[in-house]
Amino acid sequence: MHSFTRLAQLLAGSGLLLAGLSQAAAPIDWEAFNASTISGHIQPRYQQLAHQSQTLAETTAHWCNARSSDDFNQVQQAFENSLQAWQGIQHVQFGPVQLLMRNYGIQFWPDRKGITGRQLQAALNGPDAGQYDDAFFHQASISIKGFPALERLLYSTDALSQLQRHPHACALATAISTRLAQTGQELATEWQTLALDDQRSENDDGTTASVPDLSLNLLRALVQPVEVIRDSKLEAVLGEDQTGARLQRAENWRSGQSLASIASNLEALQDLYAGGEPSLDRILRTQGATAQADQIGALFTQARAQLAAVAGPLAVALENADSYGQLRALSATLKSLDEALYDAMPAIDAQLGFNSRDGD
Amino acid sequence: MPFNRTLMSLSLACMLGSTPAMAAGTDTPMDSQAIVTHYADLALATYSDALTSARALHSAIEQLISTPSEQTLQSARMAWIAARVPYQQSEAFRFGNSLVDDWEGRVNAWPLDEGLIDYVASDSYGEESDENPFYSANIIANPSLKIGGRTLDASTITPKLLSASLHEIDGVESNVATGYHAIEFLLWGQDLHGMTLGAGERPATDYDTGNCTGGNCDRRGDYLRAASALLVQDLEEMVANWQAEGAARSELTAKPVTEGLATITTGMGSLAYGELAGERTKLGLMLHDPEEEHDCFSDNTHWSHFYDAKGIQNVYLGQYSRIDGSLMQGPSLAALVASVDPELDKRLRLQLDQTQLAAQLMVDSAAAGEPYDVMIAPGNSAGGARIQAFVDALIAQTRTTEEVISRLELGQVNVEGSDSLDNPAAVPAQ
Repeated sequence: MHSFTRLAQLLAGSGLLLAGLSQAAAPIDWEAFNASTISGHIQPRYQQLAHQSQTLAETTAHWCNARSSDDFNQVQQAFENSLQAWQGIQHVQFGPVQLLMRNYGIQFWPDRKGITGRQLQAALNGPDAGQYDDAFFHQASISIKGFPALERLLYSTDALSQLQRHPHACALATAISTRLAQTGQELATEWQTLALDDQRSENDDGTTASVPDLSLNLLRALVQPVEVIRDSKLEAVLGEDQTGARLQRAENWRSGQSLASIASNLEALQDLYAGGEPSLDRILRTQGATAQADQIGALFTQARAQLAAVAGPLAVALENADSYGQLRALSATLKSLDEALYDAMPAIDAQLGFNSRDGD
Repeated sequence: MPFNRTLMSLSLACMLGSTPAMAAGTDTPMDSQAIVTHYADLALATYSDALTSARALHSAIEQLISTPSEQTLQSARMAWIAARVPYQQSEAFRFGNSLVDDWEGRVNAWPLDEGLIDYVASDSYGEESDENPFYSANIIANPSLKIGGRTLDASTITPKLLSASLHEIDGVESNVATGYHAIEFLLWGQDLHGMTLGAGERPATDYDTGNCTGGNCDRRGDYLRAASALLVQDLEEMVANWQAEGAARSELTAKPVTEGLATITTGMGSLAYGELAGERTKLGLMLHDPEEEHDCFSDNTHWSHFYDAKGIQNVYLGQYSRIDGSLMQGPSLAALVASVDPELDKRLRLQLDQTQLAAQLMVDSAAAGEPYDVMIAPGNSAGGARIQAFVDALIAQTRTTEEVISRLELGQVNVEGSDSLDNPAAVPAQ
């Protein structure tokens, strides 16, 4: 047993050595990967968030002037466009979106204790209700700054009448959407100006690592969300069996956007994986990990096809045995994808480190 | 054997090349094994202390129930706070040891919807929740419950009722019926002071069947007794798990030694970063919500965080100050790191000290009238900065822990089900 253990260690060491040798033969151009991913993936997606959130802010403010039941769907449509723009870049949890806790301010979820509902009521009916200026947002809880609070304001069962009659509901919806537009614009701008410095392969401490910090962050943005989608957006909702399914644990269930959000996430992750120049897909192949690259590509395609085959919205899908089974199958595919991505990291000498969900 | 030697030379070539030296290459396997064994000894000592102090808590609770008074209530509260000292230090053993992680939810689940257990102030707590049909079930007041089409017989409150029927009922994690925080709620009650100074103020008469406040004092006593008996029982189980031939120790020592070392670093990094810095500290600061406080009924969060961080330092340094005052010391990961990279070891030691210092400042703040739930209040920028400093220190030490993993080449080791070590043939094929 001991000799086996020792052998295993040595083999593990030699595996690393082989990876090192193959890299020496075909060095990875991380700078090119970083640059193309920023210009082709990150920047356009933040621009899309800025654009859609601006439309949302204008649509909400405009609607609040007359508050007519007839065109309320335009506000909801603008919300959904803006939300999906966010879902298309939600996987990036580093850089400007981390500053000032913007990521949490855009979306605090999951909310296991119902804090958003409680704090939203306090903001609408508390002693300082109606003052939704910069000072308010500066001190406010993350739960009432972003999409989840806005979703409650626009989609609760009595949302329309609340917005029409409550003295502050429309003002708060307008303030939140305006704030989202500002944040979206700031993120888009900061990625334009900051990105140039961040593309270098030097790390913060001036050393040149085999994998630059920025590339590692991009790899984390690719790999870690797969588990989040599976655990929080699917498994927690699906429960142990169909009778244990719980719609209200889903992300965006009030707006009926749960499945659309997962679709946006998977589209974005596959783009991050396959879209760069060179793409990660190609990088893996140049490192000899062709079988793994094939597998990852196939699993992305399979997951997106499985999701597309589910007749939505999620509330309906959970009631139907066939579509419930399809979501289970999607969850299994995501588990395989998660494993395939992690297993591919040694081939490119990437150590992702701890992530913020490790303690969950 | 020749095959083995070829691999040995490959491994040596690897060390001489650009990749860092392997732990097993620079240190003899015996030394690394001794570190892992001592780590298991630390776990045994820490859980044994947690058990001793939980037994003291249980006696204090029996005293409270038999002779309820402000004095016996205060003694029980002090016993609870003392019991947290070793338990929090044991949390460094949680992540990485699957047996501990699977068990943890029984003893330290948090946050909880306390309305499941007992009366609550409905104006602040609310009466229902999207996610939890048992949000206001109030088992102490309701011997029989019908919720969501199922009937629950709670006429006799027993440890079994709490652990088998109530805990995480309906698959909802915040239905916490057992463990330290359920007991904490029963000793303190809800903290209705929000983000101003003050903890829960449950009166001792909540346990006085002759002069009962809050209703159902007999059932409340039954619940509290059952919960503390369960805690003792659960800790007995965990102590046995770390004794010679115990399941957790066997699982750890059966691992290849590199995985054993990776278990230590996994516990350090996962607790420091995702759990303690993120879930338990930063989230409350961002939400400004007193419910987002780890020990929210007792306002003991500063000490719980202090000892949580201390546990991480313990497993790195291979030492533990026991509750009887004695100091355990032995072969440490720190010494191994120092033998490979003295500067890295020095930096991590310094950062672990800085984390303790930041935690101490939160403790001092609480002593001066600003506990965690006051520090997180909107507009309290000095308090917020004190908490942020603790979060930043934990993040810094996690980054260095990652460097340790990288330097000792523990990084490709998957702690749960390791392909790279259990299935070595798969590795060189890549």
